[in-house]
Amino acid sequence: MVNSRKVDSGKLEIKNVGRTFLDVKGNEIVALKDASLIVNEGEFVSLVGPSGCGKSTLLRLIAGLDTPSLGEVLLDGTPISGPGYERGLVFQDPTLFPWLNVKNNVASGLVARKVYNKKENEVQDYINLVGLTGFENSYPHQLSGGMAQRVALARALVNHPKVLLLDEPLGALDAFTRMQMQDEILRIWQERQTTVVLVTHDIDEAIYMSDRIVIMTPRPGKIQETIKVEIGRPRRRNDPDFFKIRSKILEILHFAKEEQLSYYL
Amino acid sequence: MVVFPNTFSASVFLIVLAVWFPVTVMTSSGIANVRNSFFEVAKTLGADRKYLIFKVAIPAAYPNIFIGLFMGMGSSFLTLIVGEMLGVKAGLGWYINWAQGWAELHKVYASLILMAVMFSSF
Repeated sequence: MVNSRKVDSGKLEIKNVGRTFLDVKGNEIVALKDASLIVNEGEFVSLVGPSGCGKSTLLRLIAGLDTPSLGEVLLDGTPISGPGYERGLVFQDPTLFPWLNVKNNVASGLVARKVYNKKENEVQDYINLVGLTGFENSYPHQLSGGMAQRVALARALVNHPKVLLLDEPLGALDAFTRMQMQDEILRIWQERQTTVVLVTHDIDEAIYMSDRIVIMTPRPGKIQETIKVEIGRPRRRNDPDFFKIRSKILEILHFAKEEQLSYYL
Repeated sequence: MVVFPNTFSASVFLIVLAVWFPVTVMTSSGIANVRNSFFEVAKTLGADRKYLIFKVAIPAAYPNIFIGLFMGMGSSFLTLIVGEMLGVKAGLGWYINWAQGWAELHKVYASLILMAVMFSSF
């Protein structure tokens, strides 16, 4: 089976990070303002918030696909200067390479790092891990959405990332596949003990999966509050504590109000 | 007359030009249209520049590259016939002109049909 060595690093430090973009007229748009967050080794943290709150921007900064305008992002004390395999990323869209079959898609990280010859056997292990045994030679267009997302997950995991970054990976799946995939990701996370940062719109998903939930609000995008989810694992989806946390989050996001603020504006 | 002393080299040049243009344009537009997320995913998998070019950009642009090659093939035949009719002393284009000179119209039609059949497969 997969070498489930404990990853003893993967601490993320986000220090006063800001990111501004310029629009067509040259006006500054603040996508993320003064965000500070520490994600410990092996922790599962979710970023939730409405669109425009900067959660995907923050994830892209951690992935190194974008550089902060202010502040810095550190992984195990080293500033992040660009994308790297120790920070695996899974998008909402699986973005599998359509010209490669499942096996070669999963292997692409090893090929890119020129270690494929040494680690060829691991590819099969990860295909088994995500439950796609028997589909090694299928091409992406032959897979369902859930299966394609599993391949994307295996492709990110095969590099043994210290941090796994998930950008709404289950957003495009139907409710049942989504719940199944949540359990799958949790199982892999517990087995591999990597740090996970999950961006999601789905509050229930965040509560079910994470150790901590970072709530972000838009205009300008910033971290509003961090909530610890103190429910033991394995969690039950119908746990009454879920509802308490859920209503707390909704309150912070001003979705739990009786009267609509916009009436007065 | 200086650059291309005979009709053969002139025809080769024209055909090269006719092939080069569609192939280049379709290849460059194919690569320009590769989804950015492919590059982003590859980068987070640890890809270097070489991998991004040869294992991402070019395979992703294959459909466009092949369209360019097929267009180039079509225009190369067209230019070939023109070249044969204008100076080269061989080939179907030349044969049509020659048969026409002898008023052997059945040969002209035969070569036209032959051309249609051969080129339609491309």
